[in-house]
Amino acid sequence: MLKAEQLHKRFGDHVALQALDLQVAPGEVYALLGPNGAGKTTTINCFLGFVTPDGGRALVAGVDPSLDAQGARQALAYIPEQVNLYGWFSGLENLAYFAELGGRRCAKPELRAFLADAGLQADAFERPVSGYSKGMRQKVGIAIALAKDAKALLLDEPTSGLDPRASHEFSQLLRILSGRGVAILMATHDIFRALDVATRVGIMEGGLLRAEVATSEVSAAELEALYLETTRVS
Amino acid sequence: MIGLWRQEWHLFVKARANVGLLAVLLVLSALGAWNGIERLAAERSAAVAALADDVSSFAAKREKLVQLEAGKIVEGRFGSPRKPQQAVLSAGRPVTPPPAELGVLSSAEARPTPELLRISILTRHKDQQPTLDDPSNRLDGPFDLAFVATWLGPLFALILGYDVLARDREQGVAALLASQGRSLAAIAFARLGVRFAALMIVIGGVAFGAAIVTESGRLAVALPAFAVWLLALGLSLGFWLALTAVINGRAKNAAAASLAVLGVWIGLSMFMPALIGSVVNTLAPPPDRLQGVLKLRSVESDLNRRRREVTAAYYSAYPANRPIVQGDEYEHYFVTELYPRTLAFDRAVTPFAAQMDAARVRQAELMRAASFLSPSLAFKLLTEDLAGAAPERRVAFLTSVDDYQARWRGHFDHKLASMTWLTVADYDHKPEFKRAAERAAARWARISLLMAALCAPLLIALAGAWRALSRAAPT
Repeated sequence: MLKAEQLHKRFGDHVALQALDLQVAPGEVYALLGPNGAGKTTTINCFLGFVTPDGGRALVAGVDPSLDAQGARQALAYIPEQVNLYGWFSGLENLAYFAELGGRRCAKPELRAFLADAGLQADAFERPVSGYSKGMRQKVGIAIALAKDAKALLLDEPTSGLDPRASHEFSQLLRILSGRGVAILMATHDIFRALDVATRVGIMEGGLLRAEVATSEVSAAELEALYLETTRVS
Repeated sequence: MIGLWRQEWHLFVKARANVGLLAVLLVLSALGAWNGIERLAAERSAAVAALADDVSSFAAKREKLVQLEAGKIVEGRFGSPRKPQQAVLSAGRPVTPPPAELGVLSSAEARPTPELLRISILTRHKDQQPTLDDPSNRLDGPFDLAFVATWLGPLFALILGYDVLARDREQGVAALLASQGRSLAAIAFARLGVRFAALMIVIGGVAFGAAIVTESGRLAVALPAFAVWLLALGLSLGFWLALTAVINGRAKNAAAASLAVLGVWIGLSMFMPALIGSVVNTLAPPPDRLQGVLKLRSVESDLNRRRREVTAAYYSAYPANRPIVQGDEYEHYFVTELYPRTLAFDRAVTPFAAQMDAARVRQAELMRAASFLSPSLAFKLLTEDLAGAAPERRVAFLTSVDDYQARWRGHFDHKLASMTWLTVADYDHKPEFKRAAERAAARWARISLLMAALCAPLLIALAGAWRALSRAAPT
């Protein structure tokens, strides 16, 4: 569903991506770990079509976003680190707005169901988003992804700044989505969350994918050791 | 696409700041419209009253003449209906130009054409002194709909549109927006389209209401003109919103975008029209106003000098004819002095006044040609043209007024010169003023030029907007 083939990207003198090969199958959760500047966000931006690679290609459901950005974006949903929404709109109105942008016009009960599925409390549906916590806004972000019925989900450090309970709820939502066949690519700094929710983990450093492991094959301590070892090498 | 526009409208009207701004604009538009309605009502009632007074005054004089001729009344020393030096000299016939299609858009100060003149056999130039201002001095004008639509409309468009994408980019919403599968260009155009519709509804709606109130009796003339004006308003607002699109495509944050739009507004709405006014004044300099005043005074003093010389020479040649009782000259004064002086005065001043009007027309032509550089100026000139402010309208009106005055004088002056009594037939066949409208082709040529001056920058701005937005990055 998500495929990177020999992706290269350079910003001036800084090499952001080098020959990145990556594949995320439907129903799979792939966590990209790595220090700041490792190339995680650039990888996600290549899939979104926000960044045009200098070499290689990114494919979303077979569509190259650098050639057909809108076509690729139709197939995916994206949740940034900070889900910023329109503060004067309620959660329900924000969802209706973004669902319409994604090409879906949903009735109010349907929108409510998406918000409920995303774990937002019912009494918050009609409240202005300006009063929402970060976790609540992340849930609206998930609801937007649910409403879009996307085949792939890109997450850029989604649990950063969330309390443990909110992070746990978020992980559960990701499991539900992967259970529905959604391919999920998540950039994160959180080794334990990655191990908890992902099926595979890739460790990036200096634009290179230096290691890749199945989470079923490693413990948290082993993954942490691998991360420290891999990122120390450079 | 309709769904997107519906959502964008919802997003727009749900923001209190936007609704507040539209409410302020509504109030300002209504105030401008009220000023126009009030001014037009006052002008029209003054014209109606003057025309009614004129009809009743002549009817009364004629009736008095009939009674005099029948010997039913005795003639007094003043107010005789049959002595032309009394009956005709005191008669100032009210004349009005054909009404402008949308007079309500503009207030009197901006319009050089007099809406009511009184024409007698005496000169009109003493009441209507030829003057000509620097055209840029008339650009702002009074607070009317022309002012609101020309200067405030674009300002509100810029305030509403400067951050449609820039703020989202700054607050991190743009990435989420762009990831949904619609291009940022489509989203930005929908947002600006919504703002365009809101501004058109407010300004256009108020102007439409004002036009209906003031022109209900002649909608067949007013409505096509209103449609043209509405189209021009759309072109003008479209240009400013397209500019915000260009800026939104490039600006990384709302503060930078606001500075950029403010700079553009000052440049195109204030600096450029002032510059054009100065250039036009240099290329087509009007006759100096001081020279005009001096000209009138020198004609007057020359006539006084000649009167004194001729009178002195006459009385020295015929001392027996000197008046014995003061006031004996009264009956002859109008015929021997005032009327000839008037004719001499007109002969001297009319070419000067015509030169002034020609300079005014030339300046207006140059301003129109230069308005391709400033959509604000083009829209202002177009609005004022539809409101009756074009100098060509003034020239057409004053030409018909001068023609009428010549016929009026031609009808009475042989009786005045010979001091022959007027008859009822003189009253019954007195010339009447016929309003002559400007040639429609000339008018619409002016309007078309100004429309082109609005279209050209809009097309350029739209091309720039498309280019900037299609390359716009979400971060």
